[in-house]
Amino acid sequence: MKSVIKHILIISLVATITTDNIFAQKKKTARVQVGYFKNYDKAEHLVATLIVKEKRYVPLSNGVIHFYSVSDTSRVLLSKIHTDNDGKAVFIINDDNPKIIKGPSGVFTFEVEYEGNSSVNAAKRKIAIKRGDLEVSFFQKDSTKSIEVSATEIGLNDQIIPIEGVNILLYVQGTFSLLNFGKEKTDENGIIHIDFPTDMPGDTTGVLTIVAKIDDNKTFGTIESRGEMNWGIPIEPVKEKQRGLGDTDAPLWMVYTLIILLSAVWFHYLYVIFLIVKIKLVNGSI
Amino acid sequence: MVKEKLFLNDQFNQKVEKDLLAHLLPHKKVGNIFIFILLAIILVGIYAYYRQLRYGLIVTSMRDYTSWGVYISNFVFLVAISLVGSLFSSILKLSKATWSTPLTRISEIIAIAAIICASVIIIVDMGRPDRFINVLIHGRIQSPIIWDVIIITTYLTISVLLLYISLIPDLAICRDKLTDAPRWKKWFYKVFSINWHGTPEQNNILHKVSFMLSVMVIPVAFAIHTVTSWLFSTTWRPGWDSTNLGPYFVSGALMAGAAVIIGAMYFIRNALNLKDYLTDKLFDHMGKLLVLLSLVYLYFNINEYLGPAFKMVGVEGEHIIELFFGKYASMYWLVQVFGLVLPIVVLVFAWGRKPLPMLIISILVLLGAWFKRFLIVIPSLQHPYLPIQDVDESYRHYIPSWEEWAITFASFAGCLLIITFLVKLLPVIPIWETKKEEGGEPKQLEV
Repeated sequence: MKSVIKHILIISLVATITTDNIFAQKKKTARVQVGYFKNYDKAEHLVATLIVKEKRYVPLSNGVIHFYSVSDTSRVLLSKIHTDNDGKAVFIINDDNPKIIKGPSGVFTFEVEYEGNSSVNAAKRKIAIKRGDLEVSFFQKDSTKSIEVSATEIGLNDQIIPIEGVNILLYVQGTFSLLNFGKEKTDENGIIHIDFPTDMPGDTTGVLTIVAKIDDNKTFGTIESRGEMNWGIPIEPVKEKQRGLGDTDAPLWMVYTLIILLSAVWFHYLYVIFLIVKIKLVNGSI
Repeated sequence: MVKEKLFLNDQFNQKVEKDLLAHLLPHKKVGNIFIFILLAIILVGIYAYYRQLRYGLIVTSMRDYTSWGVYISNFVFLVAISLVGSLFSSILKLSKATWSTPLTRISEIIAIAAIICASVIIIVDMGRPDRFINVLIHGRIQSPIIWDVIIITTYLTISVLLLYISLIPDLAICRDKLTDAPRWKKWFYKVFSINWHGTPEQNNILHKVSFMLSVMVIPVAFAIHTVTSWLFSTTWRPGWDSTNLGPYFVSGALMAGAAVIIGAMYFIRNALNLKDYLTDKLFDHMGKLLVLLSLVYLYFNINEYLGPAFKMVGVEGEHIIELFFGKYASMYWLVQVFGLVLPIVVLVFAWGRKPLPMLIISILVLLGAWFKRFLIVIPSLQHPYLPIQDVDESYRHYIPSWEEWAITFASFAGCLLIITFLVKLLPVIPIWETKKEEGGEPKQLEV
């Protein structure tokens, strides 16, 4: 009897634990990250990234992200965008979008929100940015080449104000990535001056793409500007003449083999023709 | 005694010359109707080719998947036939099989005709034949197609040299004996007999050249069909990915070559009344040779199919199932039974090696050989490694169009026409060598 009760208790305990696991599954924690980007073509956008915690945080695709423009008193829905395979949803900021609210001191505040579902918790994040701009200018005096970058922001009444004390990074566009060659803080006029290195390799005509960037700044987000100058050393593309079965030129062993074999055979043909002529030329009379 | 022997030799030589030159005499109109029929077939083929040139390869049934059709099957068949030249002019000659002497000229003529038609059929297969010159100018020597172009040219050249070298003394006999021949023929015999009078010095040079070519033709002949097999084995298709393919092709070619010689022997013997030279005994020898070559080919056939059929891996397996049990099964088994096994069974018996049964067997072997090439080319192309998707139904099947058949038959007719022309122009059995070999012992000749 005791044994039966013991079994019933164990079964009840297992059933309780299992049922608990089935009916009280914990929702996954979600996070939304948001960034503001202004490209070199002046296009502005917000990028929201939705991630959920599995063993580690992984992107969640096809989640709906709500983009809001917010102020102290209002919250206006701008758009609902599904995340892609990388968990990203991109909202393009148009200047003429009447729903975007400009806050005091020219600050724009956006909120992104993921409302969650049965298995994933909701998440939201705010971002407050000032809309800035970068202008790149190139100067050359004798052999000295320098770059001037001016950083400005748009004030409350659309006046242009220099940005002081912000870090600007300078890059050269490589084949696969940006190659950094300088970093400086803007002065009170929002300007930096950097001498350009004289030994930078360019393309076949020496042209380089020079990129100036405010990178992931708390107030201004990421702003990029670029320009092209022929300040590089012209570099001829490396032409590696390869020989192989799949290349234009055949491998040398194949060329030599073919030449040797064909020469051997065709030499004998010529020799045969020579002997035929000899038959004709020897005294044919018996 | 010596005088008597000389007299007998003289009598024998006169008979040989009389018999073997008879068909070249002006009053002999051998095979005119046959030539007319061949020309008619060729004309139909030319019209079909005109349509192909005008409308493009769309008039054929070749599509993206079956991009090699009967043209390439036929090309492989004709290249195979051309190997017969090396078999008789070299392999049998060097192994001192003197019984094969009457067949050397026929084999060399067939080899040349076949290789010329094989070259033509390759150009016919090209969608833009006007661009053929680019193959020579811009060809990449890494490509097996270029190897094929090179080796065909090399083999054609050696075949012409082989035929011509053995012809020189016979052309001199024609020059001296055929005084009633038309003027152009007399001119031909005179020019191409190159002042031959059979002096010891001329004889020595001729022997030297003949031996050299006999040795050289073996690797060149093996190369031509091995390279043809490499066209397939270097292409990624089921059924072609085989190290066996080279010897498989060469052995099949020698078998088909022997069969074509038997057929040619039969018709030439009857049409030119050469029963004293193309004897029943010669048929017997050829029968035994064909059995040997068939057994070798059977061995490579087993090798070719046993491995893939045992493993049945992926698309290779599908290809084997289609050959053994699928839509090509009837053709496959007919070819194996009637084109390979039956000839071996029949020809091991003496009654099977008589002229008429031999003719029937040789026709079966040749039909089997042609359809075997069809089976090598087409079913493999219909099983690409990437699945066939989103294409018209016609892409999945291949039934040659009438234009393809007309051109194929025209190529056979062209081959036969070249053979007929050369037979009408040249002594079809080597007179000089027959006199040389048999002259001392005229009793050996079955009169």
